[in-house]
Amino acid sequence: MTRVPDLDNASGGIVKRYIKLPIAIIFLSIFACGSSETTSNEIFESSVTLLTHDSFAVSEGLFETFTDETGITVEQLSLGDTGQLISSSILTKENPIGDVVFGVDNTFLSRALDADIFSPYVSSLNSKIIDGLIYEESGHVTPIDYGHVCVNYWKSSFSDSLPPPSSINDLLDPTYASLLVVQNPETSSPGLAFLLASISHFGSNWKNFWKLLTQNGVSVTNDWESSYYGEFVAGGGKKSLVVSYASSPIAELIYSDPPVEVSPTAIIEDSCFEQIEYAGILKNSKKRTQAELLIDFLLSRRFQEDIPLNMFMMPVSAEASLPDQFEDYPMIRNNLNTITPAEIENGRNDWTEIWTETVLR
Amino acid sequence: MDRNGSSLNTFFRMRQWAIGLLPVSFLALLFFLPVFEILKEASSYSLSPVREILSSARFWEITWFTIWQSLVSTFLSITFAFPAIYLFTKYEFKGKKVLRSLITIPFVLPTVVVGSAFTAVFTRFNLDEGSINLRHTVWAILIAHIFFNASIAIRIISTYWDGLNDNPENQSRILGTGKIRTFFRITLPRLNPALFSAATTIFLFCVTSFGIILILGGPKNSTIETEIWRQAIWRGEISTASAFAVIQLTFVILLSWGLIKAEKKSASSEELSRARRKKPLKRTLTFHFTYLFCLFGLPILILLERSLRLDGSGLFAFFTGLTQRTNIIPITPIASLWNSLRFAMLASLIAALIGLAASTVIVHGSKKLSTFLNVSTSIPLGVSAVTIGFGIFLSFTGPLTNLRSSQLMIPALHALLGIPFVIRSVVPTMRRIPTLLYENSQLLGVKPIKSWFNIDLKLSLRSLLVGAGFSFAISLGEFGATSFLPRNPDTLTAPLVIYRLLSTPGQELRGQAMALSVILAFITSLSIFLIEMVRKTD
Repeated sequence: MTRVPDLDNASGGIVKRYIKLPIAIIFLSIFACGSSETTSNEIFESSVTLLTHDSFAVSEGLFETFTDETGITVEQLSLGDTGQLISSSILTKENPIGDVVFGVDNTFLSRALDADIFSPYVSSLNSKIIDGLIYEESGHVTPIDYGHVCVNYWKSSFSDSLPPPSSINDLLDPTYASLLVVQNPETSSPGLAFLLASISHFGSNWKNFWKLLTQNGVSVTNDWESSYYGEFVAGGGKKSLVVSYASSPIAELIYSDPPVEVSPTAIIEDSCFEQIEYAGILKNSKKRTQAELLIDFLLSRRFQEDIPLNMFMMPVSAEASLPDQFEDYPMIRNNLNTITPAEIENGRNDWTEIWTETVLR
Repeated sequence: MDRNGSSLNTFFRMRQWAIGLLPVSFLALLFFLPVFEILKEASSYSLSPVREILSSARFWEITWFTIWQSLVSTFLSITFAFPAIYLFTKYEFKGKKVLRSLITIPFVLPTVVVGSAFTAVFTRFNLDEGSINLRHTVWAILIAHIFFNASIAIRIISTYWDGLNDNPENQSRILGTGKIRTFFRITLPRLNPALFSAATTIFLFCVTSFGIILILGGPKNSTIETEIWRQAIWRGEISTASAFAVIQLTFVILLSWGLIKAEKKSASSEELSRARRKKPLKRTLTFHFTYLFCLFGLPILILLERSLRLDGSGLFAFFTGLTQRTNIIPITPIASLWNSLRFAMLASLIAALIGLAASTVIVHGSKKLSTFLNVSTSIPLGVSAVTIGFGIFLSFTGPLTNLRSSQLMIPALHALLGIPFVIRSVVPTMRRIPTLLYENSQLLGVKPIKSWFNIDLKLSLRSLLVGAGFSFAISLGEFGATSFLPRNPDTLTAPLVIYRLLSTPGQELRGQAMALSVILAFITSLSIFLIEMVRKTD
């Protein structure tokens, strides 16, 4: 019987003391979040929402220059990788989360166009865009940047006696057996791009290429990180060839640690596939004018010149000057026989299934 | 077990709907509504995809693999946790609290970091080629699941065991039964409620395991979870993805319902008391520390090694680099830690509050409401992030539109995943509070609400804190469901920044990603330590 009053006394002090604090924090936190929301409502009138994938990045204060010129604030929302960005935008077509989508690439473009989520806009700055990047004249989407997925190699793994492969064909050479790691085209964007590179390079013979590549000991991971940082030399792995980007050697140089003079990696030029990233105005956006101004801004020299060092892609504007590190970006644009977005959308599920059969089974 | 006579039950039966309203409406908004929209979406494509999928051999292969790897992972996680559970329950030693908080570290480490750490362990010990090849095998998945989930088992089961006295074991030993036999015949059955509790949680976690399957399982191993993602995101086949989602939902509901029934059935009328703890021999302690190191140590050591700059100049350069913004990420990595902490604080408070309300109804409420709440608070753990994420996009329209991209959604979704941990930890404890206590308190004329406060809350405070600590850790490490929410650059969390750092080549970025993971791990164990300091009071 003595236990009950005992509890009574004890809890009065202890429990209350420890419960009050969290409750106070809850209210404070809710209050804090609430107040930040009201400030964003005040500028609601003149804002535009830019939906991007996770790799989107700009220099600090870049969008402020847009706000200074137009009075429009840019709200940035990122939505995962490109696939997720497209699927989410299609799913929310009727009631979009934002006004402008940036980051639809040519491998996903047709899916977005088929779902009819964009409304056309032809910017006056389109004339500045490098030839061959504009997909269709009606202007449902506007190209903003481009880059390449290529086989990279770790320079010091090769020597005079074992020179690095010089072409995609060399990958089948037994000299380079078990040195290459690629990504699964069913789960990774560079993986899909390299499959497309092989299709545009070998035509109908591409299955044979993969069959021979498999016999030559190609290694497959599901994601880029596992390839590059798991199996490639850069992350302590054993493979000296990896599917990555044409800009990866530049990033390796800029973010090298300890600093180095020359990039430790290089690319095999004829293994590349061109990726073009587009922006478009969502059909059900209620901020048409602001959205158009934002597309113009994405094509402006200031934004275009900001792209390389933040997103490791190339600007589409012929006017934009490149930072020093990108001066040597390989001129691979013109000798690629790429596949059109429509062909990609029609073929991809079949191709990846055949690929799975050939390489994994 | 029959506590119908207790005044508290009568009190809560009458008010169960009022108290249950909080958890039910929270679930309705963040879980039922989004899932309902996805089901509607799935049925709008007609049921043919479901039928088509059910007849494909690949589907059954994937489903079978999902079920057995989850079951085996759960069994192994609990089995391998037992020596540690024993250590934390039976022994009192210096640094016990610190060690207890350290074992939560695996729980918050981003899977991409853990995945690459395991790959590195395999490479270093030559386990990725030759006679023992773990690369892209189910073994790699199982090992990583044990690493991630053993801490759930350790914490839930040792907290429960701690409140059991040794009398039955002592009697059994006096009667001449061996140590091992006594453990299997007496102790294990007494631990059943906690075992089922831990098993339910771990099982659901393994069903929705994503990064581990993708990274360590490689391209040949798929589960329902990775398949939903692949179909929805990569192939754009929303109908096939929804069909898989429906199947996942059905079997998660069935299984958690079964496990929770079993848990309830096994709840005994054990007295809540304290077992006697002894000081361990040095030899025992050495054994246990070595064991814990084998269980958790290697990947964490690899991570530590990678976060340091070992070429001689500036060992902590990657850590100091975190205060500066790199081009590729909109905020400094340190700022993302602060975001994560704020979200985690809010999420664990919401989870504790709602979890406590739900636990009270589960223990004292009517059978129907009790089972409903018990099952429905658990299933969000076993439902794909894609389902919840896309469901929110589809359902939050009209007046809810602004909520979709609101900052509050992040801690709210984290809390949704934290609530089952609070419940799994509080309910077993609350259930075995002796009826006598309530009756005495009623005899003394104490108001029911006050006796709930004094008895239920006070005696289960320990478990509540364990649960809150878990939801804190989940929130700090969560990547799945939140990766589907739109986020603005200022609210990036630490796991998201780690992923971004790792998605551009360069040793500096990689070093910083590892350094940020180390800090995340440190902060987690420190917070768990501080949260559990409160336990001193009982």
